[in-house]
Amino acid sequence: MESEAFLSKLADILEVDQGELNDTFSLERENWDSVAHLGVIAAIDEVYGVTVPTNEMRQCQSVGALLELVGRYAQADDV
Amino acid sequence: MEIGTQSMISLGVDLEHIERFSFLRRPGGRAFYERVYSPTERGLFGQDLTGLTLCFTAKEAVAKVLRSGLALGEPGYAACAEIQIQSGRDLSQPRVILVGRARVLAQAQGFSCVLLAWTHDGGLACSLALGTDGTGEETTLRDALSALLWNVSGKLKRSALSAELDVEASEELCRAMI
Repeated sequence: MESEAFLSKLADILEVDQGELNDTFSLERENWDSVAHLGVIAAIDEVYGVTVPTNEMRQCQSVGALLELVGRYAQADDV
Repeated sequence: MEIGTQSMISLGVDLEHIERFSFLRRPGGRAFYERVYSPTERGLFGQDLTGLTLCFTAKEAVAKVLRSGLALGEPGYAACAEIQIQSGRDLSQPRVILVGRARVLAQAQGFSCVLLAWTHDGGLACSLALGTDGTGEETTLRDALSALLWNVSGKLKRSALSAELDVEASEELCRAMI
């Protein structure tokens, strides 16, 4: 599934084990930095084929919020 | 800010841990590697984390000079691909070529050139970029920029983010050029 592929990449970007990335996993951590922001945008583009606005992504405080944001843009792209 | 006959307009700096870029060697880093770095940059730096980190800090520093964030083609931001970094294979003589929107941003702010200096030490990589409207003194500015970066590199700390370092860097650049 796309979400599993994305979470695998997110784990690499945040340098954590994928098993830790549940919906409540907080993104407010030291390596939620400019490198992570670009890495996530790139990963979203690679997995879902959509571009998520940087300012909206930066406001995501959890993995759940990030997946919800991605889902919204992926769905809009399908329309 | 005036320095002699040279009007310095904008200074940008970025600092990163080189180890932070180790994720580029994992599957999750592939998209970043392919989209942030141009084919020429990937050919130049390969999988060398020091070079890749320096290249990224250079792009960030230049984006700050342009008063823009760094993005991957998002409207309103300078795209990574439009801030093209070149250097010798030994990481000497870094320089930047601006194309597309990044070039337009530079011209709109009156820059005739953007100069670049970088250094790395103790697992940290740092770039300093200077946007200037001056002509004919590029060599002097480039040497001063390199000397400044060498001087402040010993003071680099993870907490020394761009705002704090910009003020100190600006003052030291003035002293270096007088």
